Formats: sequence, structure tokens, C-alpha cells
Amino acid sequence: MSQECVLDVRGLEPPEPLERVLDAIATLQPGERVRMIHHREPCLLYPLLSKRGFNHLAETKSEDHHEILIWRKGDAAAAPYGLTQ
Amino acid sequence: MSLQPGLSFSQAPPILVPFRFFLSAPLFGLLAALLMLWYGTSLMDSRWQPSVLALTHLMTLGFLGMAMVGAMMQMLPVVAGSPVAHPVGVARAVHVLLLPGVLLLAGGFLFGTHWPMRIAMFLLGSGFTVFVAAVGLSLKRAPPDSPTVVGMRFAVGALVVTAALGLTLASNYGWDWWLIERVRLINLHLTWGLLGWVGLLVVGVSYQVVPMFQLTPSYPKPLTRWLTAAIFALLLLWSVAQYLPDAVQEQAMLAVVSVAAIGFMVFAVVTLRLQLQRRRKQSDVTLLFWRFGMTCLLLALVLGVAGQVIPALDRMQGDNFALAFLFIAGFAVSVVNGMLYKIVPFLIWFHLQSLLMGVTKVPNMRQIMPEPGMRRQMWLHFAAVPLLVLSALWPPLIYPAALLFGTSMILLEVNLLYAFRVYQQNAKLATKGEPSST
Repeated sequence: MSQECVLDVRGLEPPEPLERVLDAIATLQPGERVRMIHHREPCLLYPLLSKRGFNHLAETKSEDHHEILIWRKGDAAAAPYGLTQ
Repeated sequence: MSLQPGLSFSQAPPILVPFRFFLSAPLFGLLAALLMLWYGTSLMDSRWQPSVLALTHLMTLGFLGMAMVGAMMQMLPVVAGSPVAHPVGVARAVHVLLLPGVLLLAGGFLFGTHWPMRIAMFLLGSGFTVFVAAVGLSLKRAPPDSPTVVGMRFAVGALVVTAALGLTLASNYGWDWWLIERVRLINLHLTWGLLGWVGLLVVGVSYQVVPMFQLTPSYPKPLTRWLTAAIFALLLLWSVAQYLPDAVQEQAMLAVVSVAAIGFMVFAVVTLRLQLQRRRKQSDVTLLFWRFGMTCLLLALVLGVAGQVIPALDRMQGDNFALAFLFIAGFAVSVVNGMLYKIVPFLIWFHLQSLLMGVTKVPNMRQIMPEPGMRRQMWLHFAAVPLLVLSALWPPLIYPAALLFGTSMILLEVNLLYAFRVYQQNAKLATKGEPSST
């Protein structure tokens, strides 16, 4: 069963949302993932995640509500919706 | 839901692509200040003097042009998801052509000699051709539904018109041929340059950067959908109105320019209102620069339209000097300056995040660009602009105004260089794999 850490960064000034999520993923244990809630889609975060060996799945709930699930590549237990990558 | 979309590091242009332009911009502002000190009160004798033309182009092509070209090359991949192809080569070519081009153009005006003007024409013409071609291709590939992309497309269209008119006028100086339409072409050139290229780009870019960096709500959808297109169409109408019969020309042009001014006023008022609704209540340098810039824009628009209706007001403000200082130094330089203080530290932080991974902690935004230095420069600029505007009424004020403006530009350059040094020092650590002391 995967563990999810919710990180709500709405209302924070750039690049604080990115700083916080990069800090959070650095301590992820196997089977754990981060759910980041942001007021805009953080496109610049994605190359930073990829370079650090993380996958992500972005979902737009509304114009100012985006949720991004982040998990370590190869960690099948942490991957959402049964994703295998 | 989307899996792994968006930008990659290979798409983000290297840091020197925008920085070579950003670091050059304040040097042109400083040259403009030195020119004001050298020519002093005589500048106010007439807006048609070569010294005034040199001053205007150092501020617009030099300061604003450099910053805007650099910002566009940086922003296209981020906000439009469509990077400029071969960014390093394009940036180097555009920079190497435009930088001496602007200097020679100003020199050509000041010294009245033909050869600098002719070389400037070649350099500026080639530089803008490379820039427009590269950016045009990128904008063509960009998603058409983004209001920022639409704004950028219209701004680049306005740049093409401005540059074509400018080259025609410069050829008149370079070869002394008889140009009967000169005054009309100058009016078209400066209107397309200031309201089109500068105005439309600021509006289009604001749709992204104001909500992103100032944590405001988004601009209203009807505004983002229609404003830049409407202003561009009005500029076309205004240009055509120049050629209407004398009996209706004046009223037609006034009507069109007034509607365009209302469009920009709506933009300024909406921006100020959004800033009041921002999530983070603490004010910062960028917010203050933008508030100041939007206030100057509103004043410039009111003064510009009122001057057309009341000729006495036009005469009083000294051949449109107050209007020009309000729009160029008060509005355009302020918003560009304010945005540099967000874009520059953010870009450095972003590039260091990649370089320093696993080496050391990346310095934060305040360490990259310390607040006290930015505030000092901001207050100098805020003091310089009213004095510049008032020098249209009382010319001796040009001396303290130029001193303040020049010092502000020196401090801006110092602040940008400080940030760039933080980048270089940390980038060196990355190659050595040592911890940072920053």
C-alpha cells in the first residue's frame, strides 16, 4: 500500500513551491509518493524531477488547482493508478 | 491528466542566452543618462534634434530592446512551450549585431556623419531580421490559444513595422535623399514602436508573469482574448487614418488613438486591481516597480489624449517631452526593471538546481539578488522619473534627473552582475563537486 504525503504550495512565491517539493522528495522512502497541490501547473519542475530520477503525473482540477503526484522511478509500490513506470 | 509533459533541460536555453542581453541593457541606460548630462537643457529645445533622437534610441533600442529581446528568447520555451531553434547561435548573432548597431545609430545622430548611420542600418536590419525569423518560427509552432503567445505575435508584427519604418528613416539620414513623408513616417515609427512593440509585449507577457510572480488572480478572460488584437487593429486603423483627407483626418486619428489609449488604461487599471488582490500581502521591489509603471502609463495616456484635445497643454509640456519621459522611463523602463528582478534570480536558481544536484544546496532568491541593493536602485529610479518629467517644464531639472537615472542604471548593472557572479561561483563548484560557501 503506498503512502502519500500531501504538500499544498498554493499561494507561495516562485521558486518556493519548487524548493519545498524538491526537499520533500529527497526524503521519500520506498512506497511513498508526494501529492503536490499548486495554483498553477509547475512546468519548470518537471525537468528537475526527471533529472533526479522521479516520475510525475499532473492533473488539472481547475484553473488554479493542479495536483501533481511524484514518485521515484522504478518504485512500483509508490506509483499511482497501478502505473508501472 | 498528463504524464511527463512540458519542458526539458535541453529545451531551456543556456543562461548566457538571455543574460548577454540583460547585462547589456543598463549600459545603454547609463549612456542615455550621460548624454542628458552632456547636452543638458538644450535637449528641451526641440524633439527633432539629433541629440534627442540619439537619447530616445539609447533608451528604447538600447535599454528596452536589449531587455525585451533577451526576455523573449528566455520566455518562449517556458510560457509557450516552443523554444527558439539554435538559441546560442541566434542570441550571439542578434547581440553582436544589435549592440554596435545601436551605438552607431546614436553616434550617427549625434555627429551627423553618414557612415555610422549606414553601418548601423546594416547591423540593426540584420540583427532584427535574425531575431524576427528565429522568434517568428518559434511563435508559429507555439499553441495558438495562449493569450501571451498571441500578444507576442502582435508585438513582433509591430516590431517588423517599426524596424521597416526606422530603416527607411535611417536611410534618409545616411544618404540625405529627399523624403517628403518624413514627419508622417516618424510619427508612425514611434507609435508602432512604443504602443505596438513595447506596449503589446508588456501586455502579453503580463498575462503570464503578473499572476506567476506577483501571486495575483489571472487576468479576466475577455481582456486576455481581445485586448492585444484590438490594439493592433487600432494601430492599423490609425496608420490608415494618416492618409485620410485633411477635413476628417484629425478627428479620425484622435478617435482611434483615444480608443487605443482606453485599451491600455483598462490594462493598467486591471493590473493595479489584480495586484491589490494578490495572495501574498507583503510588497516587494517588483510589485512597487509595476505599480509605479502602471501609474506612469495611466498618466502618459491621459496626458497624450488631453494634449491632442487641448493644444495649450501640449505646448506647456514642452514638445511632448513629459509624455515621452512618462511612457519610456516611467512605464516601460520601470516594468522591465521590475521584471528583471524576478526573472534573473529565478533563472539563476533554476539553472543551479540542475548544476548543483547532489553537490550542495542552491542559494535562495534573496542570496542571489539581495533585497537592499534592489531597493536602493528602485528609489533612485523613482526619484529620477518625476524629475525627468518635470524637466519638460523646467529644463534645469534635467541635470539632477540624469544624475539619478544614471546612478540607478549603474546600480542595476551592479545588482545583475552580483547575481551573475553567484551563478558563476556556484557553477564552478558544480564542476569541482565541492560544497558552496554562498
